Amino acid sequence: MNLALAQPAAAARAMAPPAVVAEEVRLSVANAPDILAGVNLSIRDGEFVAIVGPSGCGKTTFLNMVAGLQPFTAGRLTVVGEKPQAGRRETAYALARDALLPWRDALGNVELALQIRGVPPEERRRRATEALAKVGLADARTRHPAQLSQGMRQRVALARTFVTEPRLLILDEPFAALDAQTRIRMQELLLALLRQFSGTMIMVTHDIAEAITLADRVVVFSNRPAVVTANYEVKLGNRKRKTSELRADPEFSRLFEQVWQDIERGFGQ
Amino acid sequence: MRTLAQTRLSASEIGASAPGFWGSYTMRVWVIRIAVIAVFVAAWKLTGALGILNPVFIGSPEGTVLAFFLQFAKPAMLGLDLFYTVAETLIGFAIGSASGMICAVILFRAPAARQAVAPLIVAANSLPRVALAPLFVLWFGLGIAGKAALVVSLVFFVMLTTTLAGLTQPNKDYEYLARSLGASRRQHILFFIVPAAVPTIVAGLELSLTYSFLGAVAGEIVGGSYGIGVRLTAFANAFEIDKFMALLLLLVIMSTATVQLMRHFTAKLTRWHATEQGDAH
Repeated sequence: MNLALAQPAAAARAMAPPAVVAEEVRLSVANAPDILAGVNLSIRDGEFVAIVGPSGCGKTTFLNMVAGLQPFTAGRLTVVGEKPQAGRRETAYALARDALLPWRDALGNVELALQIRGVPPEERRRRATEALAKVGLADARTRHPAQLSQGMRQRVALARTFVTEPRLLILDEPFAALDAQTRIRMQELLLALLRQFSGTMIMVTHDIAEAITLADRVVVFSNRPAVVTANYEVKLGNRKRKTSELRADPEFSRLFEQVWQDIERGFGQ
Repeated sequence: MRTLAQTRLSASEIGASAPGFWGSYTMRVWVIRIAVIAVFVAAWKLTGALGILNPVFIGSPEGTVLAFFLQFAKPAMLGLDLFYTVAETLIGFAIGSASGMICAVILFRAPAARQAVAPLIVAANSLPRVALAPLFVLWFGLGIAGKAALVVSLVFFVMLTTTLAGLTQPNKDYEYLARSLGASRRQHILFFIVPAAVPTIVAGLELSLTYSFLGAVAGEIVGGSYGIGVRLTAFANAFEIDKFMALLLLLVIMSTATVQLMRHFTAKLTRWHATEQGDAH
């Protein structure tokens, strides 16, 4: 790659406002320990970040805050310089469960996101068909969720997430419901989709390998009340390499071990 | 992944895809169905034949079958009774279900009002409406209107409660999805809440239709000049049990046929729900 050409783009990226900034974000509830005890996190524009941590630690809660679905009680949180707001045109949120509407077929589910934005019928049909083809489900357009396997349902959910061409992608444990093998195939698919994606991604996962495979940076949350205990830059070049290749890299195992230790320590608190 | 989906599909099509009728699942269902009816008819016949109960009071299967066909010999009389009952049923069903659903939508949009009237709905719904039949006759007369009013009083509450239950069933995932997609309140209702409520509403309509026949006939028994209920009372008072049973059988066939007809038209709306429940039949 031509360095001289790449540099202005990198410079522009550095100049762009951070995608997400969290400063001492706290969530307190009455008569119970805090859920978030001051989360500090800054995500650059175009960065892929994975949040890992013990289950029930508040990762999803934090994600919901970024998506503007849940309020927080103290601190400061901005998304592209603004207050978090649900339904931003540039944000796409994929929920932990696929949340497909059972009365719509696969195409209808993908179209939903565009329909809500008022895209005319022909255009949304065309874009949804393309999005389904990208996730390898061109043949399953007219099938309803009950007629799809878990993996296929998750693909439809991914197509629905990408079809709006978001700039900020928020994924909450996108593959939690899948068996180990399907999950790895889905990670490969997501990695392929992310290669054509120039925006910012923030995902929550309990799968450390998934985090290292997909992200530029792994952020570790402690047990409740949650704070950020560690940040790991993943310098494996994941954006260009195959999943199998990544997993074979000794650096991958080293990082995996470190993150694992961090989460374990979080439990001890 | 593909094989998994195919397995699931074929599993839900067992009844349809089995080779031929003989030995199929559908055949087993029909054998059991006919056996149940046969046992009932045999028990009925034996109770009379063995003198456990006097056939004067319970009639007989063969007498009922004979009376069933003979009742068509006087089509004008039967036609008039049927016309009254069906008219009362359908008018009551239409008014009751429409008003019930409209009120449910209004209450759905006004949570405070909903909470305020919730206990009143339960109380009104637990009231034995058939006991009010004499009152309805007093208010609306002995004709169609009195019975239709009774039907409305039954159907209104069934549709109010089922529609409201359908519209207010909580789904956090849909709510998050709707909000994250930036759906307006109107879109949220149109794309998420209403479609999710359709199967519940359709089930309520089916139940209401059965209740409508019940209400109309019960109203006629209380008082009236024409209708199946009027005729049934007359037959019972004259100890014409076979004729009574025959007319009852006709009523059952009619109401079942009406419900099936409605199912035929609503099947498309709820097909996704049936598939979701793993029920292909």
